[in-house]
Amino acid sequence: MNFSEVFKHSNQLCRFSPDGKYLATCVQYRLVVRDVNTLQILHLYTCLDQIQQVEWSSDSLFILCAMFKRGLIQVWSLEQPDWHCKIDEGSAGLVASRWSPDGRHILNTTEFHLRVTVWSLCTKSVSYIKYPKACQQGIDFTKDGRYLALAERRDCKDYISIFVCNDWQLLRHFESETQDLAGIEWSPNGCVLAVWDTCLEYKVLLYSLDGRLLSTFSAYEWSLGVKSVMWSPSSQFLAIGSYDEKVRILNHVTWKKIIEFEHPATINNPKIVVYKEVEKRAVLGNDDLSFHHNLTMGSSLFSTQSKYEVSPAPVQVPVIKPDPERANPKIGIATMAFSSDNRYLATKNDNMPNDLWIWDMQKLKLFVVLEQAAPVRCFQWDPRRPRLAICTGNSKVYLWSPAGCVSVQVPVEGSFQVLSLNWHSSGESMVLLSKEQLCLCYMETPEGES
Amino acid sequence: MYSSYTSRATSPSMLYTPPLLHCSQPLSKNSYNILNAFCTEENVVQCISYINQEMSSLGIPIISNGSNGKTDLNLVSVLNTIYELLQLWRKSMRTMEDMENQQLKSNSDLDHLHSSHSKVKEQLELCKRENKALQERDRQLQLKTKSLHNCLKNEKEEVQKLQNIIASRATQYNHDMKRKEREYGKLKERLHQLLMDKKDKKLAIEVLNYVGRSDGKRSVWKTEKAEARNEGEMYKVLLSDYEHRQKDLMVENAELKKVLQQMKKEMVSILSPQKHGMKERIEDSLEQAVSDDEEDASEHGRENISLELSCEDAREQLTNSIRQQWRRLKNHMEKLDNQASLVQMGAQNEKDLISRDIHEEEIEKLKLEIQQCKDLITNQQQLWQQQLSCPFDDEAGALLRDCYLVEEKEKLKEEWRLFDDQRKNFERERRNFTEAAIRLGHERKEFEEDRATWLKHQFLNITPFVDRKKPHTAKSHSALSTGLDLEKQNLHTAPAQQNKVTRHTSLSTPKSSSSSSSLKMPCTADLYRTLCLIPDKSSPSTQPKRSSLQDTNIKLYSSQLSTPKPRLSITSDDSYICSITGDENRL
Repeated sequence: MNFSEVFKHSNQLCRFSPDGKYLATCVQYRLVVRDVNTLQILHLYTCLDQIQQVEWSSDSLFILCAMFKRGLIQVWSLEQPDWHCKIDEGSAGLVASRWSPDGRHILNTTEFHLRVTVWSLCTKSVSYIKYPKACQQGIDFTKDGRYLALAERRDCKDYISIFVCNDWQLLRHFESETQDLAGIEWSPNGCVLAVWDTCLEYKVLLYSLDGRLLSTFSAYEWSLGVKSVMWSPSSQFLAIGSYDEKVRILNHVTWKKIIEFEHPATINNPKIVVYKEVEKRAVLGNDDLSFHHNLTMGSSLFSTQSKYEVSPAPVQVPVIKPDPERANPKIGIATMAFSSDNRYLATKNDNMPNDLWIWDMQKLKLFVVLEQAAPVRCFQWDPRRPRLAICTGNSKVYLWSPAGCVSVQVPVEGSFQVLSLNWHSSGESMVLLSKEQLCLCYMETPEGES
Repeated sequence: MYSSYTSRATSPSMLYTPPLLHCSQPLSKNSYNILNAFCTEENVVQCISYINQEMSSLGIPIISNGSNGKTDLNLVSVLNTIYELLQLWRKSMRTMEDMENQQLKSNSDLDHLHSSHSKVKEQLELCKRENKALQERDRQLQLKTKSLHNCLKNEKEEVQKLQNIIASRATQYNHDMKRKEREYGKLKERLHQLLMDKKDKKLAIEVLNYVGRSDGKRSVWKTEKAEARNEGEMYKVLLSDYEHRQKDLMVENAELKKVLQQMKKEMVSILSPQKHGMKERIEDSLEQAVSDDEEDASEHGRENISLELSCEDAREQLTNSIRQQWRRLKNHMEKLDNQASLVQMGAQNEKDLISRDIHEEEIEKLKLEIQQCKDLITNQQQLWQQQLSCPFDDEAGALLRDCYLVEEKEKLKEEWRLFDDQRKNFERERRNFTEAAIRLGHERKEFEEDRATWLKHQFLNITPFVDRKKPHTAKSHSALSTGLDLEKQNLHTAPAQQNKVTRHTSLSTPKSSSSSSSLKMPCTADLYRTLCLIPDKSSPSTQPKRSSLQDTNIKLYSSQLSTPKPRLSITSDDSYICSITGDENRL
């Protein structure tokens, strides 16, 4: 594994372009676009204020920079560096901004979720969508970019509108059977829309593209319900993580539960491999050889060494007790991710912050548990291979693949605490972000594989 | 006399003056005080009369007869009286002692009773107190439960109230929420209106120049046509998705079908050879299987068609046949299981194991019998049916016939069982019979030989060359030594056989014994008797006969052999003859 030199960034704003050629980073009010391979600066754009959001258009030709404080958006072109576009939402304010899938329209959400403004870069035209619902995930485009689903709230009822992105025509508008809709998400094939209710009620609804209700799923009542929902890339499974520390998998034929993944505090099954990260302080002068080795490695003298050990069968998973008095208690499955080949599902239970659970979706069984020394901050699957990158806010990056797992020290002068990471679309490199710095990490491609 | 006594009594006191104190005690007891004495010189008569009176009142003969004041005391009577008095006194003393004892006992008893009484009283008191305490506690507990009940009721009411409150609050909250949301909506609307009305100058887009659409097309007017097109496209998307899914399912289905077909084929191939094997064994239970086989044959032809077909009946046919096969396989497996367990059991008691050939022979025999019986049964059934079909031809008749048949069947079963038992008995008897026959043959042979030797001896004795016999016996001795192996073989059985010879030969007449054919065919009655199968009625009649014969035998022996040694030589001679003839092995 190789690492690039370190670059500055701000607000964790660093994005690979969808075609994988460029890397956009924001430093205060400047937007820097680099070539991924050479890391040389290709373009440097200066915005009017500190950039708060950055997004590539789908064709990698434009970059959108949002400055919410000013209610302002600036769009830059890669092809024509002197082309520019500025969109001012004015007194309506701005809270969110995103590209439409065609890369020629920008959807801005105004303050108080008053409306969604759709700006066209082609015609300069503007159109409004009223009554957008302020919720966890209220807008979602299909993968193919043809349709937009939008959650709405009118007259104390939830509605869902489906628009055709091509001409922003309303295709379907229907009331959803939810108390207080919390989120919507299209299946990757763009034919089924998963809708889930507020956490007070466990309810997941599945609507067809034409607005028919396909199925309703509710696992239990009278307790905090759905916390997260995730489609598998094949649209075959719908994983629902909930506050009862379980993940339920629905199938795409009957929309019934196939299996329930529990996250027990004790892992008794000896077939499950539990990798436990063990930290060791490098003792100075303990061993001259290792000392020199450390020096040559360039790692900090005071950094801790760590490695994975396989724990024998009955493993006690560290559990933190959530405060029941607080709202949104730290319990339950909040983050889930399917590997790109549908083979594995990684989940994290919020009251077991150090553990990452990897489930085999072919056998529908728990496969591996990774127990980190520190709480898991971020994890992401390689977009090409079943390979998972994890960071825990220390100077290491952790990689898991079915073959095993490793921890890699980021060889950077000074402290580099990896807070988040992002895979390149090729799966050959990833960007590691600390609070103010970033560095690229290149995977060694095995021989025989391009 | 009293005086002399007193003088005697006093005289020691006078003699021993120094230890006066010691003597004074016994003296005072024994000595009579002159003044207080009952009888003095003067009142002897009165005393006597008084005593007489007293005596008579006590029922003791009086001391003196003298009534006229004369003092002629009859010494004997006095002594008797005294004696009696003493006796009386002793008796009374004893009774007194007894009484005293009794009293003491009763006193102690009384004391004991008193004490126990007091104890019981205390106990009673204690119990009463305890009872009181318990009652008090019970009362208190009851009070407590009452209060708790009240509490519970209150709590329940409270809960109810709280629930009501919660419900009302919830409705209130929902109502408020709705109101607020409405207000919020209104506000939003108003804000939106305001924003729109104000013609927000800032709200603007500044683009250097327009950008072409990514697909290169120009935007289109919003028309109904466009709408219809959108709808169409949507449905196209959905349709393609469904088609895709259907295709996947078809592929999956086809694969599963293929697997099923293969499974079926394999099942058939596994089951069919064993079925034939089984058919031979258990014919009656396979009627269904035979029909299944026929079905299979027809299904084989259709198999290829059903694979292509996806219509419901084809599928049903496939699944049905699979189910049938599966059922059969299951049955077969169960059977195998049973067999395995049986084999295990057989292995456990190897003693009872019968050799395979015998077993199979037996089975063959039994099968033959079964077949015969079956034929019989079917014949009978046919006959019955013929009989029964004439009077009844409606349903009731059929029903009746059925029940008749069932009855008959039961009867036949019963008979069959009986028959089987009998057969078994016969089998046993036959075995016994053959054994007995063998034994009899042996015995007869031995008897024959005995007779022959006897005759020979007789003959030798009759002949004038008596001296020649001795070397002959010596020779036989030498022959015995040479035929040692044979001797050894017979050694164990020899004495038993000898006994039997003496016993059983008596049953057969000398005539029959002489003929070799009768040797093989003894009459059954004899056999039964030998085997003790029939209680021997004729035993009293045969007993003397046998004994006589024995006697004669003994006589024969005794007359022939004066010493035991020559007799032994004879037995050895017997064996010698046996070895020469070698007949016994044949039997």
